[in-house]
Amino acid sequence: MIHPYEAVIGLECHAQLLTKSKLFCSCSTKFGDPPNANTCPVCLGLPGALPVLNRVAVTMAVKAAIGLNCTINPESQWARKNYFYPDLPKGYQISQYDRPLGHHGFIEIKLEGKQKRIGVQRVHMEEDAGKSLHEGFPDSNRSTYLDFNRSGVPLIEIVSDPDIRSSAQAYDYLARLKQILEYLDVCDGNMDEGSLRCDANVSVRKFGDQKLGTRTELKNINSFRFVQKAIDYEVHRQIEVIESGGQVVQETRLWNSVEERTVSMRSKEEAHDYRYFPDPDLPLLVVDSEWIKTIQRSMPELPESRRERFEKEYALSEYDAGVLTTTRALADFFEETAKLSGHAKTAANWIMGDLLRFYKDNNVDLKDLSGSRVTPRMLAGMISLVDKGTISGKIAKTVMEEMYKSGKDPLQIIEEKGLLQISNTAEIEKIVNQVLEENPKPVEQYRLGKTGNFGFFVGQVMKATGGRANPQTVNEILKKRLAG
Amino acid sequence: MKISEGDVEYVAKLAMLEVADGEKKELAEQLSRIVEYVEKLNELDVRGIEPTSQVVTSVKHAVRDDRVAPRTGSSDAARTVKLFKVPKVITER
Repeated sequence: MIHPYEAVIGLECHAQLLTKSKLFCSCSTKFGDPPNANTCPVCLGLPGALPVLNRVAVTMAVKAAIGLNCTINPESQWARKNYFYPDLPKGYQISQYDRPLGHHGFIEIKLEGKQKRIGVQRVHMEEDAGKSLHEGFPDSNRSTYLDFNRSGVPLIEIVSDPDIRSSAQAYDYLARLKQILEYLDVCDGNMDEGSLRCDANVSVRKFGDQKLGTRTELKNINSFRFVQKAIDYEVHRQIEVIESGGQVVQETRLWNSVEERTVSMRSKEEAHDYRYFPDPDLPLLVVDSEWIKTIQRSMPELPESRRERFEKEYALSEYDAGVLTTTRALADFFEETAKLSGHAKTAANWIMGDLLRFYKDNNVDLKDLSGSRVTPRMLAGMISLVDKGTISGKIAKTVMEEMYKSGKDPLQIIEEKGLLQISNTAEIEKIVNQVLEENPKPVEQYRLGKTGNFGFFVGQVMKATGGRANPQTVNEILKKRLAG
Repeated sequence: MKISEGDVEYVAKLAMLEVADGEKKELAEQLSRIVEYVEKLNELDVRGIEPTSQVVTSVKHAVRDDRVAPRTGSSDAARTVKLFKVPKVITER
């Protein structure tokens, strides 16, 4: 039976920009400082304090908007979003409303080989609110405590079109958004620390219906793992409501990650009427073509095009190119190794095999490989040692591990550990003779035509040389000697 | 445009103001008069006139560098207060 329902999903994501100071004042944005250490009259919303815009925040927001293929509004406007909540000291949030910084962009997602374009309705700038501490104080049953360090930290909100049709697509969209923001160095993409947050608007409708169903807004899905689970749960719940003759209620629901379900947020009936109006304290945000051009020139190659280029330029598979472009640092690492060694495919194999496993075992953050003990130069050096026959591929694995452990140069490791490959014919012949003498039975079998045990002899020679014998030479000599 | 007592209730709620029942009628009438006065603008032809949202239009954008400055003035409050305390927020936003 064909499932008669389809899900319609839109994501609203907030990304914290990586500026040093806040959006409208010179307080630090540092995470983890003592409560309220980074506050001033502006971000505490004291009367008379006036906001002054952070230029770098705008530059980063424009970068993100361009990276998401948006059109940049040459003139965008700051608006006040009015609501009362203790973590919002001014009683309004400075945001953008009818004239956002960027609009009409898209993110290309790809699932099971199928490409799909998810529209990005808008990218706008706004300030973050403070943090409410509801628990952990002796009087937490009566009081809420507030830390305004986060108040005024610059954010961009990225609103997708309702183009997403499954939780898997939502996950892919989010993963690509995160990757683009990380490549651009405008957000660290850390969902656990809240620098990337995500809400989902979810509705279902019968296939073929043009009209959208009633949607619910899912909040608190601030982890990659939860995005898929929360959406799946909610889609299922809405279908059940409809199937049992009920109606989906438009509401905000919270994802409860312990019970793995969404629950209605029984807030007091709160009007979603924010009475937006242009902020009279802030002039229009003008981003002229000169500024945009300067920003465009500073844009790095984005993951999508880098992936494609890797496939073409280095003849990599789509999968390999995808893995190697996970982060900008990893892609740089690969590309430098490929250039230095002249063997892109081999470089890719070493990085994807051994190096990535080492990184994973040691919890290395792939976004920053500047501290990696294995450098592209070392890896390229090792690759050319294999290429020249100085060491065998098998020994190279040992060298690789040693490089990762000690950070020593491959040549130094080979010398110190006596790992030089034996290519000297006379020397190998001696060992081959010895192996044949010690194994008269297999030799007899081989000569009677059971040549399938050839590998056994190779293994014995390798064992005798600690894997250092040149395999090609070993093969040649063995064949000759076994032939009688 | 007529402002109803219901409108008064709604706006009062958004503004977190308490309005006594006896005041609603009077406020509705006063607010109606204010809005009606502004409605006079509808009589004008404003085609081609840019909306004014800010009084200072000569400044395109006043921006500052992304530098952390030492705190001044009333951030002393933060130094002594450490955390701000408010009555328990029961509902989640």
